[in-house]
Amino acid sequence: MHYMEPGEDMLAQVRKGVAEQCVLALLSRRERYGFELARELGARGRIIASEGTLYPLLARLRRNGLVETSWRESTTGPPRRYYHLTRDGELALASFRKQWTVFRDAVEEILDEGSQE
Amino acid sequence: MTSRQSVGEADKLVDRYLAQLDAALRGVDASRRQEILAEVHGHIEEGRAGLDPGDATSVRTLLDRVGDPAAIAAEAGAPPPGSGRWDAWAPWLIIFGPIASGLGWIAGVLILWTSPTWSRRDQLIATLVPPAGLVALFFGLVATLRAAAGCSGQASAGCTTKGVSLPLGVAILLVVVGLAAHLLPPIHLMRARRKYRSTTTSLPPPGPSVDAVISWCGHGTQA
Repeated sequence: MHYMEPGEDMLAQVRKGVAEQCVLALLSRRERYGFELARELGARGRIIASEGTLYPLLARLRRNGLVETSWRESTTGPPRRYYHLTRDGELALASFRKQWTVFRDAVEEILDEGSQE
Repeated sequence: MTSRQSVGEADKLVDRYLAQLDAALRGVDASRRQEILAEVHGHIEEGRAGLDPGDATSVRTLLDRVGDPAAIAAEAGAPPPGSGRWDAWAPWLIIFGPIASGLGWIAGVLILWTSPTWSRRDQLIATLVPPAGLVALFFGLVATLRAAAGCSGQASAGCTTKGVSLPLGVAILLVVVGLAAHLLPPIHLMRARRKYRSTTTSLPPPGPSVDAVISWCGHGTQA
């Protein structure tokens, strides 16, 4: 089997799970429409692989009941579909926050130990 | 500068991109596929609202940022491209497989169940109904021959074969029903495949004459 650049492949795996949580976190502050979310995630490094991959992710969150959508008129063009967090979405995000902090600290600790040896 | 022609070129780029995305999403559940397509389309329109509508170069940059349709499809859980390439064989193997050799039928059923082309319902019907139809057809033919030879409940001269005796009308009905049950599900598979392909590939859809024939066949088989 073809062996990929190890760091690249690993990061893609991590990103896949974390991107959903980042979307939930952005939506927890206020509701947003897809384009806005895509630009926001794109601007912050490589949280999503490309802007278009946001939409299957949003569809999945919606099917899992973590976000809901509503249509709003836009002053500049066609109506926009806004995404907002559901109660389940809030709970999922809160639980991720807790676990992520522990996980991040553990990883950093281990990486730091490694660099000091 | 915005000329009508360059707007047309930018539109064409967008249309081509959306057709590629639609094709890449084959195998994704229909409502989800619609949702993703509509959202990506909305995203592109939103992006174009801030641009010179006829500037093909900036539309290209916009589409680059939206990204490779294959990556979007992979995120949506689409089966990898190339699946479904044996589809055309399945209906024929289901029709002629059991007659020629059982292996052919097994191959047909394998193709049927591993392809994203057909719904669960179509797969079930095409697996179970044709063999039942073939059995009915076989018994119907035997009974027709016996009835035609004048065999009744009691064994009489000339009736050497053993078997159930049925009135000629019932036997013929059994043949007709068996034949229909054997042939109609695979024929439906062919129509469903054509419909699926016309909505999933970026090739131009079939002309109106083909559509007309398909819908006419639909009336015939569903009546």
